[in-house]
Amino acid sequence: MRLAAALIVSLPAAAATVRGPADVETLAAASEAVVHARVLSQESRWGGGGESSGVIYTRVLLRPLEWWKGGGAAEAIVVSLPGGTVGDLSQTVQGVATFTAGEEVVLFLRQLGRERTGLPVYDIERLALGKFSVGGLPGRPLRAMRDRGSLACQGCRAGEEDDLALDALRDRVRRAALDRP
Amino acid sequence: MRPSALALALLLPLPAFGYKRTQNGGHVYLFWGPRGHSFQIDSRGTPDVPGTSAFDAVRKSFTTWGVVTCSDLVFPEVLPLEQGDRRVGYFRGELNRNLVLWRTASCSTAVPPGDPCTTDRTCPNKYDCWDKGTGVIATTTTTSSPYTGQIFDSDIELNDSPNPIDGSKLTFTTADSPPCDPALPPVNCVSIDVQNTVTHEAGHSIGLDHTTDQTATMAAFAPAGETSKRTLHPDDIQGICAIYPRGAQTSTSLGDPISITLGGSGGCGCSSRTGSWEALLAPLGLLALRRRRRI
Repeated sequence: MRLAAALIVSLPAAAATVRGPADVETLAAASEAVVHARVLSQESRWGGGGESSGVIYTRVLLRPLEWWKGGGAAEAIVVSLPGGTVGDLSQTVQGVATFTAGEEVVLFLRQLGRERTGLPVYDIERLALGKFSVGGLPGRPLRAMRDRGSLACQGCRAGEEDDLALDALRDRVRRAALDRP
Repeated sequence: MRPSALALALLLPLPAFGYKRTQNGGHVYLFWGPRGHSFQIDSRGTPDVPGTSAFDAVRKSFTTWGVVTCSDLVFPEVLPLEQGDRRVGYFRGELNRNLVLWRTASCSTAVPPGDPCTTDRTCPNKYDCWDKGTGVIATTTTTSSPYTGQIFDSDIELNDSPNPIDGSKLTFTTADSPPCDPALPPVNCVSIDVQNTVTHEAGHSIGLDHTTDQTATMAAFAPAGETSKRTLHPDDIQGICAIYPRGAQTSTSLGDPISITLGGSGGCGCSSRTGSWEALLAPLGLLALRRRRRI
């Protein structure tokens, strides 16, 4: 049965190629904003004009817990990601970060614009390279972990800074933001 | 499969495959229905590489996958059009070409302020621009059925756009060596090798994900100036042959029968009868095949 288990348990995945290095300071310098946030919901839709646009995107709604660089006072923000599933079509833009409702995350962001509602809309810097999931064992300090199995990275090292203490990550982002606001 | 054969198969050690298959939003493995996965290089190519060498490099990338002898997946080229369709994605009822194109403008400068295409991700098609940021080199957009995993369209975009802040940009090259010195202009050296990049992305377009084998073309990491992914590693060959074995049915996630529908980029109207257990055990069959035949 272990063969079956090994073959059945596989991760949803895909890929794209991004530039390294993958260190916190490089990412923070390249980002307009860095936020610690919680995912409220997500929904995939066709682009403007509907199916004739040929493009599916996923709208992720998040509640900021703390801005570490840039950002503002918005009670909610939107991350707009290419790809998703609508009806009988699934579109995979490989290497894009994935989310689950309730997930706590740290995101390195660049602003795309605003929705008509006024909510700011962001993209993630360097696809999944710019997303950390926050979690940890009860009673232990929180950690920020990055899954970039879906990305090819030119100039990155394997495992480079993919598992950091949340507090250390925040401190490094804030220092980098002071150096290069 | 007879029960005794199944029991024997389950007792065998796990094969040391590193390759992985890509799953879509329906959590099923991606595959092309027809054994011909066409591609079309946009006629503009890249301004980084004069002449035809970038086009030749893209062709070599697909040919590299097409000459694997244990698979019969072929990669016919649809010749570039002077005024090609540069829209990426899937357009139901239309001819969907599997494009390879370079985006040479940044959406940050090409799109008028306030256009909602920035937030619904339609600017690249509307303004022919790159909207995924300066840190992304290339992406592959694949449209498939969430129920079966059959691919209908797969487009490769390469970022050839200037950084809207400082005007810097990635440089695509086709030279064989040496790696470029970051302090010098990228002339007669390897910066971002077209064939290296597209061979990797083409692997994604046929349904392969990143492998755990760090020496393979489908490995996730690449040093600057790399050209080693121009050629396939045994792990990559195992991957394509596991999905598209020569003379045998395409390996899919789902059981008997899968109705393969006619997609926009062509389909065969056939059906796969690969059963669930047989699909799970297909890699073992491939292992046995490899013992008999060099690939």
